[in-house]
Amino acid sequence: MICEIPPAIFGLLLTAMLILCFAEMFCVIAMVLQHRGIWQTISAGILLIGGFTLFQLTVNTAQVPGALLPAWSLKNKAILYILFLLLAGLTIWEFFTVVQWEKENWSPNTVRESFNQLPTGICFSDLNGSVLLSNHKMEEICLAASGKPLLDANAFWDTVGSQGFVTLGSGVTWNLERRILSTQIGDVYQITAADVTRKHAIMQELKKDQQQLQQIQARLLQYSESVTELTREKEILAAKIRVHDSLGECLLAAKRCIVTSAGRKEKEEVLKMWRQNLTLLAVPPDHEKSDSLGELLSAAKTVGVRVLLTGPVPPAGSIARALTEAAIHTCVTNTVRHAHGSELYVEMIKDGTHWTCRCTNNGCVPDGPVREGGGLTTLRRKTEREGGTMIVESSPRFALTITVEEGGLS
Amino acid sequence: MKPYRVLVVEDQVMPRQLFEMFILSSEQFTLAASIDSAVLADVYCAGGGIDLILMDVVTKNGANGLEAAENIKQRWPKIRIIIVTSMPECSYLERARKIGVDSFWYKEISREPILSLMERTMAGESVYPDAPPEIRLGLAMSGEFTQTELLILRELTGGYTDAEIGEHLHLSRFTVRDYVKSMREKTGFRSRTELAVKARQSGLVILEAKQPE
Repeated sequence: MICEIPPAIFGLLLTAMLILCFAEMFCVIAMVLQHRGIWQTISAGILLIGGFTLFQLTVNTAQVPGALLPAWSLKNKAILYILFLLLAGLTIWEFFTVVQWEKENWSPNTVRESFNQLPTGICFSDLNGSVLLSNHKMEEICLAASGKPLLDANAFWDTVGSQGFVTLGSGVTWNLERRILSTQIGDVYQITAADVTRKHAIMQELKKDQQQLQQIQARLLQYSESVTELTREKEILAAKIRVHDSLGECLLAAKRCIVTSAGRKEKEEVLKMWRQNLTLLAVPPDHEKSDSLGELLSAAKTVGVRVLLTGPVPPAGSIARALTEAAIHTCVTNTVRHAHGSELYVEMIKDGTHWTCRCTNNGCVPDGPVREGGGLTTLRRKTEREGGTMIVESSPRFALTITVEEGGLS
Repeated sequence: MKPYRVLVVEDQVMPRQLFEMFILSSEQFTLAASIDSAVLADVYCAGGGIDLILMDVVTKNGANGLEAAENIKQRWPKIRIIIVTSMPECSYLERARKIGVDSFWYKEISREPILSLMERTMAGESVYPDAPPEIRLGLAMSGEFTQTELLILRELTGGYTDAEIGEHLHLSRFTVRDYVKSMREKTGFRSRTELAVKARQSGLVILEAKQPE
């Protein structure tokens, strides 16, 4: 018995079968992309073939022109439709498992998708700069910062990334960092870009504050120096006031001498007072800087040591000059205290960029090796701090030699 | 009796001349030398014959009289030293005591004449003022500051940050911040800069240049 199906229902049936076939096809592709097990993929493939076969049988066993097979009986068609329903059920179940699996498991697609949704930019490339993987954000940053799409990660790093920070036209500041990762496919570069707009703004503000603070510090120190100067001025003023008061006393005393016809002794006292005050008033102005070496030689002379200096002298204010003066200073005190000498011989030699100062004296020869302490220790520390050398000899007579490179200002 | 030989170390000509005059007017003392830098004081001591030194603290080219006094006391402990200063810096007194300086005299405020102090010092007395001169800093008097506050105040005049001061004094930056706040409240100053400037101006604290080791 041949059962005739109305054409409209037959059309709907064919459409449903076609949708079934597409759904199966989607499931097979999804399973392949999801890297599901081989058997699961094969079973989905069988269902696809089954669906396609049912579709073909339905078309070709219908009483339509061009059908390849003779029309089926109602019983056969009933079996065909039951199979179709079963297949439809299996397909729907499979479709849901695919969707569920996608939700619960990682697939390359989910990685890619989530990678693109990251708020930070990220790019992996091989060591030659070929981009292996990058997200939308990084591509966007590259385009905005360099005007070129992200094709060569090394070129992007050299032009933009190596500066560390990049502020785009939108006002957003990105912090770019690059590091090497060891992976299964070898070493790769990972470039990351993090939004540090707020942090960068705070840092800029902090930098500005620090600059201001440094300026204040410099001004405070400058102020400290001028305050010392002010205090000195105050001292001078106080001294001048004393002289002024003293002059008042002088005037009163002089007046009394004249009015009362004072005796010789009293007049001499008044004269002495005047002399003292006038001496103070005739004081030359203070000279802030003077020749410290000259003062040292003069001090040495006062304590009975004649300093005989030969050779060139390092320029005033240089490290070599400061060390030379410190060496002479130490040797003068040692000549007086230990050697009981009266002459200190200082030989200065300039050899290229090096200054050498050798000091000996005409005093007693040391009994044994000179034990460094006090002045010599301090001098050695100063000399070595400036990269110089210091040699102390005890025989045949005491000699101190310091060598220092011609350097900056002391 | 042979007069005591005095070395005057003072960089300002007029105060130095005044000291010289006092010494010359006395029969008990005689002037051995008069110099303007503390650096050379030890050379004169090495020459012998110095009994007493009148030593200023801030001398020519920044040479520190207290450092020179320490050096001299180590090598020639018998030489008597009187520190003469006009700086009210609160740490000078304590430092001078620690070094072993014999007497201390404030140029501006000490009532006792310098000659009398010199005589007492040579007689074996150690004459120190009870405290540094009391000076006003804003609404507060100098005596109201604690030792730690003064240490922090001294660093503050160098323009250092709380973190840097904390590092120098081994304190946390928060402790330093609290101390600065407390000092601002005491003095009534609006900012730390005002506090630093006024403190330095008063001479209560003087930050010395750090010498590299």
